[in-house]
Amino acid sequence: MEWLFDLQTLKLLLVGRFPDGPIEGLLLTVLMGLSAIVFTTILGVPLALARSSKTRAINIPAAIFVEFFRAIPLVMWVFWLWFIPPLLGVDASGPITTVLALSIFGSAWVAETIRGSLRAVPQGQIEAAKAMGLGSLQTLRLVVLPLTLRLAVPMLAGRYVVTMKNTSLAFLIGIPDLTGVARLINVRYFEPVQIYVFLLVIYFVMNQAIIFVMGRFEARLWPERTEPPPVVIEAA
Amino acid sequence: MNYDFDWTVLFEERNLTLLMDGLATTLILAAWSLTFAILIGIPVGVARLRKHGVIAKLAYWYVNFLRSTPPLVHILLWFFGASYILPRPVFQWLVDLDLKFWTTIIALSIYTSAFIAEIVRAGIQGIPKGQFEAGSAIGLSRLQVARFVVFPPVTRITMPPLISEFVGLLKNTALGIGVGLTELTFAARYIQDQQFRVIEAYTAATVLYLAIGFALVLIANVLTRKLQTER
Repeated sequence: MEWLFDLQTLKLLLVGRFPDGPIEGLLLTVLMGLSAIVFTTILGVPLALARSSKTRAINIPAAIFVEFFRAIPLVMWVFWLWFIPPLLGVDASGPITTVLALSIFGSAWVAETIRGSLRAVPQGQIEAAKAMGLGSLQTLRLVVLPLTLRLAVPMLAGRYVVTMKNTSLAFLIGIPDLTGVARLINVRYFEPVQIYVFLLVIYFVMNQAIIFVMGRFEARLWPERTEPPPVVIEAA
Repeated sequence: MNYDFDWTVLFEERNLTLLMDGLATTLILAAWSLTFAILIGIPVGVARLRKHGVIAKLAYWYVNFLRSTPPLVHILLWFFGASYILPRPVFQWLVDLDLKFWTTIIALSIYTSAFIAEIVRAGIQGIPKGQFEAGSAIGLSRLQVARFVVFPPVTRITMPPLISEFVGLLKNTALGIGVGLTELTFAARYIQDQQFRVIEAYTAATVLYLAIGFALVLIANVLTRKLQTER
């Protein structure tokens, strides 16, 4: 474990070449993961609403978008976004490409999660809102969305964990994120088992933190619910 | 955009072979991984049914840990670490076979087994308690209860989630590119490197992934309907 107690290695693992160079390592992974989580949520909600719409011209394109992006491996999306911009004369930045791929891919999944929760909102609540004289936009904003969010939190936690896990794909386009930096350390010390198991533990701890924070968030939104459903995490 | 499309590239013999070999590798890899994942996942899933004791705790942490870790890191761990983790003769055997291929299978099997375990657990928990009791009441041994009472409905309940797990697994095989495994994504990447046919190569791979995913969803629907009517 001598590699772990070398200050330079530790710095490489945590922030990479920062502040003398770009942000790398664990910090880059956290930044990419958190921004992707924010974007998947921002994109996922309207997508879910579009898919639940009764107008076919809206729900069919949304359904195609969701199914199309979920069916193809994220690796393919990362490569598409990494190799196409140069053809158009745009310089792609690795971390931005990764966040973009994670956001688009993840938003399709988040949309499905939110759609499930939208359906679970009791019809009586919507009727009550209408009876009180709320317009459809007001019903959506004041009644449907808050209830949906409450229901969706445990499942969203699962999606966020998957997004965090998938930040490791940045490694495949040569970005020195946490996984990429670990490879550099492994080249130097050649202790693959120790280094990669340590890496797994770091990802595990980060994801447990996400689950914990989402659990607290749910407890705040829905204090009466004493036994929230378990967090479901998907494989891909 | 200064890009001349040339879709005929995909039908050149060399590239066609590359893509088809890649597709075959992807499918074989996923099939092996699913098989091993089920073999590991069933005992872990059964162990997850226990509420107390060391085995229950171990199974809980096994599932919890694996689900929260990236599959790509598992693949890297097993590829670079195989010579340390595995006994010498086993490692040598894998090297003779194909180290990249088999270490990726080991990694994906272990990773996926955690998800299979949860499916198995949910499947068994879905069986009404009275059925177990009825089984032992008519004098079946524990093994017979497992074989005749638990097994038939569990296979029926778990079939759809198992197939969607297989679809997820197929997508995860693309991570094999991290260790240079020559699966479908690698084939597309290779054509891109050799002939600069970025869009054509990735379109081909994307369409193939869509096709197998779609075919599997169809199979899942047919199977689900068939198993439902058999009841």
